[in-house]
Amino acid sequence: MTEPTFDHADALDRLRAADPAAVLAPVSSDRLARFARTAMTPPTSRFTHARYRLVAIGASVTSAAAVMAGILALEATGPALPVLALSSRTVGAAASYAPAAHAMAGDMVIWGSFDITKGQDFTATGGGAPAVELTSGSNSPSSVIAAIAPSVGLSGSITQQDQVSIPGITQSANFIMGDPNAANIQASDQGGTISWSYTASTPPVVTTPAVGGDAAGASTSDAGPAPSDQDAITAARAVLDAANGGALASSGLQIGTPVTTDGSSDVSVQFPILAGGLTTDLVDYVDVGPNGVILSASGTVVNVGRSVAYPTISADDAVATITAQAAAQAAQEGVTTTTAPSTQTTTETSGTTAVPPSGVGAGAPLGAAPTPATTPPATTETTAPSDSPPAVATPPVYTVVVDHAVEQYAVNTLADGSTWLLPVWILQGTSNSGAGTPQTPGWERQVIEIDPQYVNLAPRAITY
Amino acid sequence: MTTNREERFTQLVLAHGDVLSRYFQRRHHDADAVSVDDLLAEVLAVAWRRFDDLPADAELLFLFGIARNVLANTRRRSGRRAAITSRLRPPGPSPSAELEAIGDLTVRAALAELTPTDREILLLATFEGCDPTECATVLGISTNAASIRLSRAKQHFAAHLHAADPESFPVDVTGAM
Repeated sequence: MTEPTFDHADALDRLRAADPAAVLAPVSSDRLARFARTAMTPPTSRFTHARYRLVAIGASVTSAAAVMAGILALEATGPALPVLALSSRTVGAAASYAPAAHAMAGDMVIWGSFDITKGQDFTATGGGAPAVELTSGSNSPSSVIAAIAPSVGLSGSITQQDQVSIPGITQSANFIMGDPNAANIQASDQGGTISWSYTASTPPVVTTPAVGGDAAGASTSDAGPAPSDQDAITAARAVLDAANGGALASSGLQIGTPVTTDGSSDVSVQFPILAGGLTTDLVDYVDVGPNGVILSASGTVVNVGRSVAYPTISADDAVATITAQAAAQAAQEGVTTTTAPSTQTTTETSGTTAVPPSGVGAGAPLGAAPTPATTPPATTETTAPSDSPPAVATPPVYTVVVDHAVEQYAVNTLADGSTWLLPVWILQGTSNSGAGTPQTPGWERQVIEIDPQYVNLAPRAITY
Repeated sequence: MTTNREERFTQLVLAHGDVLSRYFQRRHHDADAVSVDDLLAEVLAVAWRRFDDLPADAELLFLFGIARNVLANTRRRSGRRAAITSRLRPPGPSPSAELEAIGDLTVRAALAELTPTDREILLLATFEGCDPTECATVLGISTNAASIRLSRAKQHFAAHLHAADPESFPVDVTGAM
C-alpha cells in the first residue's frame, strides 16, 4: 500500500545544515588546556555565617538522631519488615510517561531557599499502607506486542533491537514489530513491568477505518474531523484492553476515569491507573485520530507481585520532613551542594523525598542490589567556577504555604531492579518569591509515606 | 608537578572540550548573562570533582549529562531575572535558546512546533550524533523511551518542516523513509 509520507533524511539534512556550531573554529588545545587547569584549581574556602549555621544544624541533627536511635534501639519492638532499598534508577517506563506535573516534584535543588509553613492543620497520626511490587508476570515484551498488534492492524515478525553496552548503565532489551521509522509497536521489560508504545505511520492524519481496521497502513491525507470524546475513549480503551489482557483485572489495579484533550483532528486520551482507589503515577496514553484511528499509544503492562504492609507517617510528619530539608538547604544559602548518601535526607529522581532510616526494627533489606551500584554519584552544585571570580549575590527566599496533602502511589525502582508502587504524600501549596510574586504553577513535593526506618535511599544517577 | 590524575583530566578536556563548547554554542542564549566559556568552565569544574566516577567508556555522555544540568540551572536563574525585569519593561517574544541559535527560519519554525523534550532529543541525535541508547543515558530515560521519542521527534519535525515550507519538502509519494 502506498503511503504518502515525509522524507526524514531531507528534513534532518536541513537541520544539520542549520547547525550554528558547524561554522565555528575548533577551540584550540592551548585554550582547552587552560580550561583544564582552571577546573583543577581548588576553590577558595571561605568562612561564612552560612557555613557556620550549616555546621551547627548538622551537629544538632546528628545529636537528635543519635538520641532517637538510642530510644528506638531500646524499644525495638516493631515487626521485622524488610527495608526498601531505593535505587538511583527510579525512572522506569511508567515514570517516564507520567504527567509533567510530577516531574517538577523532584526539583528541590534550586538557587535560593524555601521558607515552608503549613497553611492548615493536617492529620497528625500515621497509619499503614501496602507497598506493592509490580511484575511482568507471565508477560514478555513479545507477548505484549503480539497482543496489541491486532487492535492497531499491524502484523509481522517481532525482533530484538541491538543494544549498546555502557558500563554502569543497565539497558533493557527493546523489541519491535514493524518499521522503526514508520508504523511500529515497541516494548521492553523495565525491571518487571512491560513498557510499550505504538506509533502509526507518519504523520498524524489518517482516513482509514478505526480500531480493528488497517490503521497502521492507513494513508495520510486531508484531515478529517476529530472523533467525539466518547468514540475516542472507546477506541483507546480497546487498545489498552488488548495490551493488558487479563493482567490488570487480576492485579487489583484499576483503570481510572479517562481524561481527554481535544486537538484539531485528534483526541488525546489519558487513562490513570489506580491502586486501591488511589491515584498512581502510572498513566496510559492513546491518541485517536479521525474515524477512531489510533495514531499513537503508550502504556505499561503490570502484574502485582508481593504486597507488604508498612506503617506510614502522617501528613503532618511529611510537611515536617520537607520543612527540615528546606531549612538545611537554606543554611547553605547561595552555595548549594547536595550529595545523597544512603543515610541522608534528600530528594529522589522521581521527586520523592524520604527521611533517613534508623534501621531499628527493620528486617533484611528488600530490593538491595547484589553488587554495589556503579552509576555516577549524585551531587548538586550551583557554584560556577570560571576564569573570573563569581559574582556574589543574595539568594532569593521562596515562601511556601502548604495547603493540600493527598495520598498517592508512586513507582520506584529498588536497587535490585524490582519495581514497586510506594505510597507517598503529595504536598501542594503556593509559592511566592521574596518580592511576594506568586510562582506558577505552584509548589508540589512528594514525600514517601512509609515509615522512614523502612526506606533506604541511594544516590541518583548522572545528576550533579 | 603534574600528577597522573591531572594529566588524564587534561587529556579528557582536550578530547571532549571542543564538543562540549559546541554543545553550548548550539543552545546558548544571548540573554543568559553567562558566556559559553563560563558554562564550559562550570561543567569541567564538576567533572574534575567527579573525575574518579566518570564511566570509562561513556565519559562524553556523562559530560553531556552535566552540561544539560548546568544549562538548566542557568536558565532557571535567567528565568528568575527575567521575572524581575519583566516588571520593569514589557516582555518581548522569548524563543528558546536552541531556536535563537539557529539562523534558518524555516528550521526554527519547525523546531518551535516540537515539545521541549522532542526538540532536545532531536538535537542530541542530529547535532551531537547520539544514538538512542546514548540519548537515553544523557536524558536518564530508558532506551525504549528514547527510541520512541526520537522517532516521534523526527516525524513531527519533518511534518512541521513540510507545513512551513511545502515546496521544499513535498510529500514523498513513494513512501520511502
